[in-house]
Amino acid sequence: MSNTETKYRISRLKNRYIIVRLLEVLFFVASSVFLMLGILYLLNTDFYVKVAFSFVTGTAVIAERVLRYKLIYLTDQTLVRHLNFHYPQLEQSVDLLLLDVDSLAGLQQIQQRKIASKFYSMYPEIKIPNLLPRSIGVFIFCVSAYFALTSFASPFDWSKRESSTNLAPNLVKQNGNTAKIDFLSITITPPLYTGLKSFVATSSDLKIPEGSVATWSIRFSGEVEQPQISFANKDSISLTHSKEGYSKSAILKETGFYQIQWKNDQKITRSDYFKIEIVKDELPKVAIDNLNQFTQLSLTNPLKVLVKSRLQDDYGLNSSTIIATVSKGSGESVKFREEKLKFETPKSISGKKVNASLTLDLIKLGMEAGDELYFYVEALDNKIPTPNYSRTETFFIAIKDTVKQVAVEDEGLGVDLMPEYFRSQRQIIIDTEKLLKEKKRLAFQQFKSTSNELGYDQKVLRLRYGQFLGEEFEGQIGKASVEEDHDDHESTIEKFGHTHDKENEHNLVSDKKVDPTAHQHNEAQKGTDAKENPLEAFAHNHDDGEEATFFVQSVRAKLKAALTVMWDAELYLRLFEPEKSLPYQYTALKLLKEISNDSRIYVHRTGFDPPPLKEEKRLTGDLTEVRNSSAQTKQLSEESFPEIRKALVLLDYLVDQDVLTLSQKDKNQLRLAGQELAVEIMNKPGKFLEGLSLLKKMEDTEMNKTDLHLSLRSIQKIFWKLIPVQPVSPSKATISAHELDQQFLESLMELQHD
Amino acid sequence: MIEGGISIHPIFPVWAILVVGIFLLAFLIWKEVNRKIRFRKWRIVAVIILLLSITGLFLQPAVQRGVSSQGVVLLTPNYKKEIADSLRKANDQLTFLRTPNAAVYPRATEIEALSELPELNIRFVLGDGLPYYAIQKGVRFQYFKGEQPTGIVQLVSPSVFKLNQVNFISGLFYSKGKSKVKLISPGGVEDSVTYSISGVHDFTFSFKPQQPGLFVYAIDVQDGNEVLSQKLPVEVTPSERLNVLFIQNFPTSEAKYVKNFLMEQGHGLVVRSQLSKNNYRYEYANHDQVRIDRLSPDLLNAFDLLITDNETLGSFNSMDKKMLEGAVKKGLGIVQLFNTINNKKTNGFLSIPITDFPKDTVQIQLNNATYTLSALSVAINQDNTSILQTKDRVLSGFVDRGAGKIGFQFLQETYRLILQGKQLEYALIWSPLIERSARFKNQSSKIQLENAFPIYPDEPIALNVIAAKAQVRLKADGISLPLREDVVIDNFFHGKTWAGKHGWHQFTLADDAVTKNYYVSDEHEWQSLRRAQQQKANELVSYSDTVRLPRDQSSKEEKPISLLLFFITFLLSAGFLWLVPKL
Repeated sequence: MSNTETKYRISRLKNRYIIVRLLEVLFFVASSVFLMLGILYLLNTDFYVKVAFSFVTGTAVIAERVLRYKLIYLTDQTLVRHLNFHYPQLEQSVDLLLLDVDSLAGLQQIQQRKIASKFYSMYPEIKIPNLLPRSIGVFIFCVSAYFALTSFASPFDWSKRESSTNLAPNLVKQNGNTAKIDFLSITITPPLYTGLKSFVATSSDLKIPEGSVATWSIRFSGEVEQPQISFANKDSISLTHSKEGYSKSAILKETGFYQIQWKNDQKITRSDYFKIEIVKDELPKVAIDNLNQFTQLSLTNPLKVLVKSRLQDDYGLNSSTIIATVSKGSGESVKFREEKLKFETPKSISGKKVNASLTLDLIKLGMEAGDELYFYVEALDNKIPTPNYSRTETFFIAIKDTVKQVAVEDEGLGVDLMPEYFRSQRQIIIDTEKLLKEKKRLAFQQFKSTSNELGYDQKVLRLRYGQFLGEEFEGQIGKASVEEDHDDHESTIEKFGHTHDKENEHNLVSDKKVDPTAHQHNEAQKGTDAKENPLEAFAHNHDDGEEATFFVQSVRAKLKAALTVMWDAELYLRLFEPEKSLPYQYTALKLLKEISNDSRIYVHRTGFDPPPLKEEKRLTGDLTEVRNSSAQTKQLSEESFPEIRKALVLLDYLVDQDVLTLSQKDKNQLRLAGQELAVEIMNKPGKFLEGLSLLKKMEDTEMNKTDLHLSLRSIQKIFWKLIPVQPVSPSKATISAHELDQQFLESLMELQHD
Repeated sequence: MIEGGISIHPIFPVWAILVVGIFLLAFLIWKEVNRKIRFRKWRIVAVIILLLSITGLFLQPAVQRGVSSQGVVLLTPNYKKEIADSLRKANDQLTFLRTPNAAVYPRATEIEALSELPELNIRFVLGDGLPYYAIQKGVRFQYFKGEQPTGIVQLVSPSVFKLNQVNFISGLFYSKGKSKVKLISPGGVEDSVTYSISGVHDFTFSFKPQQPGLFVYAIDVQDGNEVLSQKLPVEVTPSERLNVLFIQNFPTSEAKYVKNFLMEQGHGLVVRSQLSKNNYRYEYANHDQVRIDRLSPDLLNAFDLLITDNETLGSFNSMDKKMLEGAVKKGLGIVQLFNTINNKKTNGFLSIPITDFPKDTVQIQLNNATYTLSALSVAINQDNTSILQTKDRVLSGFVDRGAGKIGFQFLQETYRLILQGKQLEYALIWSPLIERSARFKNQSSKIQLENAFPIYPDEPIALNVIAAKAQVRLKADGISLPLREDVVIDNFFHGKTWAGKHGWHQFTLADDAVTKNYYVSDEHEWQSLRRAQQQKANELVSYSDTVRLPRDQSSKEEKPISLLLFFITFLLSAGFLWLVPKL
């Protein structure tokens, strides 16, 4: 084996290496180019851009690979290094093979021969370093990716972004010389609470949620002045100029229509009319599904009622509660307590559709036999600023009182509206009398305690009447039930704890001081201070408690007297002298009864007060004073849409005669009809808007014969539809006969008669 | 003027032409004799010929020929060729003429205008026939109908349509296959009918105009894939208000709602309800206050309709009844309501004899829905014109009494419909009864067109005018039109004009403000209808028996001598005279 052959073999190896590397680079380049083309296809770029990018990518990949593999500077040494490094059997002596035999020392020659023979033997097995399989893999992947991208994904259309939002082509033909709308886009931003995203309108006719902000972006083809948007309610907003054209936002709350208007070359151009349809936020829908409106339970039933409520709203619910009113007792002592209950599941109400439930524990609500629970579910949606409110019907749950049978038909509504305190005085009297009867049997302490309790009851009664007179808790009369509840609570403590006068008049006075409505008292105070003021006599001071006019003066006086008597009654009860207290109590009762009767008379006065009958004339049948009566009414039926009716006849003539142009008179008539149409459109938005646009177009532009004819036909149809259907009306029929005919008829009749 | 086989039609009087001609001839001959050139003899001949040709030009002579003909066969469009062939075969002496738009037939001469027809001895007419205006009075011929036209062949459409009332347009349609006919108003399709088989079908379209005025509807005929749209003129007249008198002994809900219904429609109403024996309540709606405590002929003549109930009618005294009878005879209408059936006693002239009927409820169809209403369990046993009826009895209608009418309503508690919000249905019950029972308005003047629809441009329009007085001024689209008074009947006039361009036109009687609108259709529309009408008109003047072949009849035919011949002769002779000096 000669040295030359060895060199040749090494050179061949080198060439093989270069070829493999170049192939590898080729695959990488092709892969990168395919990948780039795929991406560029998606981006829908220009052909030249594709070529340029592909070229740059390919070049970059070539450069990178060539530099990495040092293909340019590739020498035999590179290969020698590789062989030395990877094939230990060559004993790091491959470089010897490249040297001439003559230049080698003896040992080197021996080594060269040895290595040469080994080299030859292993030559076929020498592997050139390469990434060819990988590059082929990458290539296959990229080619697949390219085909995937170009076959399945559609190229991104840059122009689409604008054209999809550009509503300008949808506008009606715009006049030749004037500036046109090149680009129109309307962005709708619904109110935040709706949770709807902003969107770009696909039509100039808008159908949007209530309270949405519409932003018009308009670009004109030329210079324009005073561009503005006019609305149906005669409002108009001027568009503001910016780099990209004109734009303006408006909050749309009312259904109607709008029109874009601009001035160019001293000529005003108006677009078509476009409708604005507002989609109102609907009221929440609340329903209780699992209960009948009236449910009656007996004490033996499990006193737990599951309330399942279905809540629904178009944009979302905010809260929902059950308003429950417990009615305890009956007749004179019926008491109401209102509670707001929250649903158990879910804990908080939100979302568009909620199924909420709550188990009403009637025992926990303090209900006993005979008690009733009225409840309803109310729901608020998330509308801002004022949420929409809706509620269910009132549901009734009654616990049957098996002890007492009350013959009341409508058990749920059996509430005696007469205030109980008009009769409580009688109860105090009965209790006092009872106490006096049992005085001997009772222990002294017990007697005193009972007397004191009665005194307390008397006090509560007095305080309540005081409220009516404007003396105590003036501002809280309406919340009597709360106060009542509070009083009850106090009385219970009082009963069991013997804490007398815990909340006495002094407390009330101090309450008054912290009462937020205290300014009224202050005012009253001022009134007293200003008693010397002579003007006071002539002023009508509403804030003065003394002037409060719940009752007429006589009633006030009686009530005052009753209160004074009640003071005395209470005094003797507190002094454990009920027998002294009784006369005062009787007086108080008498006065209260009178007051009660006075109030009843007041009610009577509002009703029909018939004139007194004259007994002497009764049943005599005398009609001399009954005269003929007469009434005159004028109800000439008013014609609806008078101008549209006139226009209908005109339009029919114009259509039939195939007119070429409209005269000014015709235009005027059509304008008047258009005004009536506009009013109708306000009531029924969007329905006849096309008619208004056509009328405007006819007025503004000179149409060709075909367009004019078609427009007239369309308007005619719209007008025709507007005319309401009237009931069949009789009309006087006309006959025209010659005098001879009439004479003939008359003669014939005479003959018939004879 | 006939002169031994030659007739002349001079432009100027003959004597003038002859005098001028003789003088001119003498002068020219004298001139030619004095000229010192050759061909004197020939020149004189040329002058004579020249003068003769000039005279010929002015006299326009025609040659008369004796023609031996057995009558004329006139071929009009759509004639059947086989009939023409048979006629020719049967009698070779028949002369065949054809109208310009008829198909060509061998040896059939085309006539230039229909005006030539009167001079012809027409024996046979084939095809669609002569237009109605070309058929002379008293003329009769044998008519052989052409093919039946396809499309609308008969149309019954009122001359005026009533506002807010259901109006009908009916007719006959000849279809050759699947077809559809639609009535289209300016607002869209009003009614339509579809035919799946060929043949002659009848159709009735109904519609309710909402607006008075002159409109053009359309009837679209879809035969196969072809759609033919034909304009239909619709004149809608506004409603005319009625003056209605209500007299009742006691108020009822039924009367109250009828009253309200009429009041809302704007009709004049006077109501008298009795409160006690001598006390009344008077109500006036859309009407001035009038005294109606006592009836009088003048008072009753001021009203068009009296609405009352049978009990109130029965309580009238004999004088009032007589007065009412008189008023009804003169045209007053009465609508009688029946509150109960207890009172069956007749009220003479005013009564409507009724008998018991077993049912007291009826089911009636109103506005495409069926309603069950209570009805009085009675039936009328007198000739009447029914307005609302079921299969077995009449529910409302009227009977004629002189010039007036007495209407009756057996339906009870119809106001329930109003309470249900069915105003339209309620109106359908009451409006026709009230309208047809009420007094007719007598118009003293009237314009009538003799032409049937359609009228095409340039067609003659014949019209008649009934006038209130002897002096009449008629205007056609604002232009005065002369009228000819009828020879026999007073205040009855005839006139003739020619239709203008297509569209609405109007005749107006200047003094009475009476108008008549008519529509001139486009020539291409309503051809089937026109052809059918024409065929019918020709059939009317046709001999009904078998074919009558006419006897031999010779007639003279005039053929004008062509004026060109005279002119050429004139040119030649004048040219010779001009050329002679140069020879």
